[in-house]
Amino acid sequence: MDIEKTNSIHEARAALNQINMDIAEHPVGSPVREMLEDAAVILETVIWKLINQDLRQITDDLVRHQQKLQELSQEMEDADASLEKTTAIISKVATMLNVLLNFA
Amino acid sequence: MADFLSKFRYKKRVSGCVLLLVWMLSSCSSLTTSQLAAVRAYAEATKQYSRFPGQMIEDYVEVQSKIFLLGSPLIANPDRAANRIFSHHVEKTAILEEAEKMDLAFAMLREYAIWLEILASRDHPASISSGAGDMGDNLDYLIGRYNERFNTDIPVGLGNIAQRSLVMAGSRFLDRKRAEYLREYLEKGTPIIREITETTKTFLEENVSGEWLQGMDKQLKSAHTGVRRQVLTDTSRFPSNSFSIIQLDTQVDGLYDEISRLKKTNDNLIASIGTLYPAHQATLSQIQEKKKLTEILGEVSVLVHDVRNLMDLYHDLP
Repeated sequence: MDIEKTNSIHEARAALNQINMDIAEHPVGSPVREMLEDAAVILETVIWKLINQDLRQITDDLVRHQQKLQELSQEMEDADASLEKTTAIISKVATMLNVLLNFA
Repeated sequence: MADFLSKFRYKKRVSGCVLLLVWMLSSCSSLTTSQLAAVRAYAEATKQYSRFPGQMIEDYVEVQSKIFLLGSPLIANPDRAANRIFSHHVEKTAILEEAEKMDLAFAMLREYAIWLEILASRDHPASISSGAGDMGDNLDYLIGRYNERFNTDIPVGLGNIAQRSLVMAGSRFLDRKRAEYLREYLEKGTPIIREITETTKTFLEENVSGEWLQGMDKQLKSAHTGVRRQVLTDTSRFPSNSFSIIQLDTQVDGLYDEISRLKKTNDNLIASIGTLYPAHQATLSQIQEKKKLTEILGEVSVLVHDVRNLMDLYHDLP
């Protein structure tokens, strides 16, 4: 697990929680209030971006598996021609995975 | 003459033995009703399961968005408030697009399970034949679009084994053919199931459980407290806000329920994804080795149980 990224989302949440508690204590329009509002909006954006990055990561993982399957089928075919049927099946699965991952 | 009769009887006996042997072989390689039922149970559970990961992500994004919006009274600057809502909309759309992309893997799993169910259905070929035709067309359509978009030359007509088997429904010979198709189809599905389950399990445990849902209730509590403080400040200048406060607290209470459901859903998704691959392997080995029904159902029923829990949480889904 990417510890730094996990910590980032936890810290962003903790900071936003603190701002949510403090913000109403400062009058609307005051410099401190402005800064707190600014920070809150940025922190919310950071949380969204980290969530989006997680989803990209899982999509990338599936693409990586698809590429690995394709490479394996090629390597197996090169190593032993009698594995033709098996490699064809693996290759088909990889192709299917590729089509479905990229079609959006 | 006697010699001729003796040869005739001998030939008759040999051909009888050959016929018996062919009959025995064909009986062995075709599948029993119980075996087909076990495959269908696995297919149905997999099909149902495939709906939930995408649904859970959509629900999470919705709840997270509601919590952010709850804090709207805390952003008083009009320009910043307007930009914030616009930015939320952009980010949310990007996340849902990414989720949709991820959901394609589960769309594939769903399609796979539907075909598997058809392959294992001996008695109702007519009622599902039109559905099978659509599914083949749908996959061919996807591949066609892909070829067009990425300028590739992937052959159209992948995975139409189920449709071919439908044409052959009926006699004992055709049952044997069905068993062959089913074995081939399950073997072909093994790498897909393994890759999807491993990747998804890591994602659900590390990202969704470890990051997304972690501290979500505290975030709601802090936003709620902040808004109530703001209401208190505003009340000193304006008439009573009692009605707004009731509405606010009711909304927050509902959000706590939604967070709780998200956590339960994710726990169930993690449990079920862990049982999907063993259930697939058990289903494959039962049609290869003719295991006892109780042995097969051991693995499959764990998956069925987990998926049923998910369905209970989402009983309002169509």
